[in-house]
Amino acid sequence: MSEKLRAGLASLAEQAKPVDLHARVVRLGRRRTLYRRVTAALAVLALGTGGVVAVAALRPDRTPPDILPLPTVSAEPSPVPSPTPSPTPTSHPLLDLDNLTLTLPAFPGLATRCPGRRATFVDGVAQRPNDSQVDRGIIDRLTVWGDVDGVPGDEVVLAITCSLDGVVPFLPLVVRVAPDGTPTAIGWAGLGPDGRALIVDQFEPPTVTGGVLQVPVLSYVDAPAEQPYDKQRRGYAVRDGRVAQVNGPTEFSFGANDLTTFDPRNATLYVNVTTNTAPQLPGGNRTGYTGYVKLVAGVGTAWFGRQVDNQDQPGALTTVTVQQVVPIVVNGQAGQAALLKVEPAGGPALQLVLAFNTPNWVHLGNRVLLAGAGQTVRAIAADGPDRIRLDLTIDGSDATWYATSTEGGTTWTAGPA
Amino acid sequence: METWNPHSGATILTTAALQCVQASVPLTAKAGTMDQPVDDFAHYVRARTPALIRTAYLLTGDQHRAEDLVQEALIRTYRAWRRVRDGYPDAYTRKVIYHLNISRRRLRSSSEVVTSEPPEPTARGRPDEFETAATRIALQAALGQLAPRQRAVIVLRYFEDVTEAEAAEVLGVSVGTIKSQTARALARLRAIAPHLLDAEGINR
Repeated sequence: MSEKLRAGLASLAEQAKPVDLHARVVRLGRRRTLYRRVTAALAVLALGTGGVVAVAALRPDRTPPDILPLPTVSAEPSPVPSPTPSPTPTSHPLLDLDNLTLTLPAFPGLATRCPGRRATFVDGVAQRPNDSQVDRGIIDRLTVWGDVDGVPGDEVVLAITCSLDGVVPFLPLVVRVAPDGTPTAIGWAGLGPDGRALIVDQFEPPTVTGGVLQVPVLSYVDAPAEQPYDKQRRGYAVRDGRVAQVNGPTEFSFGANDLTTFDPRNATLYVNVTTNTAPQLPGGNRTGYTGYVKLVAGVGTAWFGRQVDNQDQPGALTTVTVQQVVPIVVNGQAGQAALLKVEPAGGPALQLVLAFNTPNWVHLGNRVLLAGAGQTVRAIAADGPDRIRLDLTIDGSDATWYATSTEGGTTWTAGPA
Repeated sequence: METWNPHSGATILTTAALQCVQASVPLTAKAGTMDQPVDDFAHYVRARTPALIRTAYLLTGDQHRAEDLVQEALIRTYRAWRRVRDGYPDAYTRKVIYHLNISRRRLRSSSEVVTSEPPEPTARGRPDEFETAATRIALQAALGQLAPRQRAVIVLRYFEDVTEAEAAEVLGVSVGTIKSQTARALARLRAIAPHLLDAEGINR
């Protein structure tokens, strides 16, 4: 038995602080029950009177996706999002996007786990009929409306998950909505030319521009987990009654999974500047930005998700610039450290130092340092094995910190000399 | 009102606390009566939340995400309370926690443990305290490198100490899947931080 692992988990679990959730749970539980009853009643009322009832404002305690500003993406190969948000998406007064029944097509490549079937979603999740296990979900912050079939009236695109061992992929499903609110699935977007499911960027919502659904994708769902990503945007629309790719790349260009040849300036990176400790970001201790960005010649722009106190908030178009790259040696393995500048639109400019030193997972940088308001990283340099020197300016004064890796290279701690 | 028992992990309600719970009158109750199911739910929540938070903390690596996860799961339990209260409400809540966590977050990157701050004061305490803190940090980071399902399997098997069959029931997969996911997770942990595991292979 692994007593060490058990002891470690028990010790780690003791860090959790007890909290009384009863009042919150009961209050929110009643509010959702009331919401469902009211929307059902309003739907009946609207059908009876022929009027339009605005139910969007009665959405329960979720980040309201209908006010999320979305980037405008051009319909060119590998488009880059413009800084101009697109118009607010519409909604349908008789369709509750978290509580609906839909005939789902099989999830490509995962038909055994997620076969085609009639699914009833309750609060955004659906259970299998035979054993009541949750196997599908709707990621409501990625919902988008738009006309993608050339017929008057918008379709809704729902991000539907398929629960699978190890990962939970999702795909955008294009859904036609009848005047009475009945949804009908047309087909999946986010597929390759051979029908393989692609990994869709979970932080950048898809957009509809010029009748085309632009979907940010990263790799294949069935690719090895450690394979680097290649972020692209592929355009889909309804043609001859089916969802098909109509623009954008059709192949990925994955880099080698090799620390010695990995180039952070020309790669797709996962960037996370969320912090739960240092009050470095406006809005409190727990404001952060997360996203996937493709860097070309050291610069890239992408839509990042934003969280405040662990709650999803409207995201931001974010520019990432690689300011410096230095070779390092960690755990006897050659790698690289990169200094990144992260600039979310409307947010503070941040700097992030990442160490790319995990063999076989070259693109997953280990966080060394996050610098926020009043802090500037002027330069980084290797300072012997497992050590990085950080030349900083903190509140107007120069300082030198050192970051060391002591836990096999995945954990770094930094501080003054 | 409540006594925290650090040994059992359960919150022990004193007599005064029980009276407080019984006196609460929910909106749906008729005037002058007590709604027994809601009182039972209050008792259940206060008794089990600490343990659920600890599990959620291991799954998410973050106190606030853990609270959010447990809160959401308890909301669903609350709404299904009349159906589950006579059975195994804890099993229902735990299943929701695991499924919600897996469906919510599919981050395939490292954890957010590392900060820019100097070493914690405990590092200057006794050597065994520093080693424990460092081990926790390392384990936190290593768990963050696991896929959500693999992390769930590790927490089920090595923290909650359930059998393979029980883990399969919670996650809604086959025992074979539990075996393979456990093997992959342990191999990944061994590759990332071998010092966190025993030297010999793990058998159970």
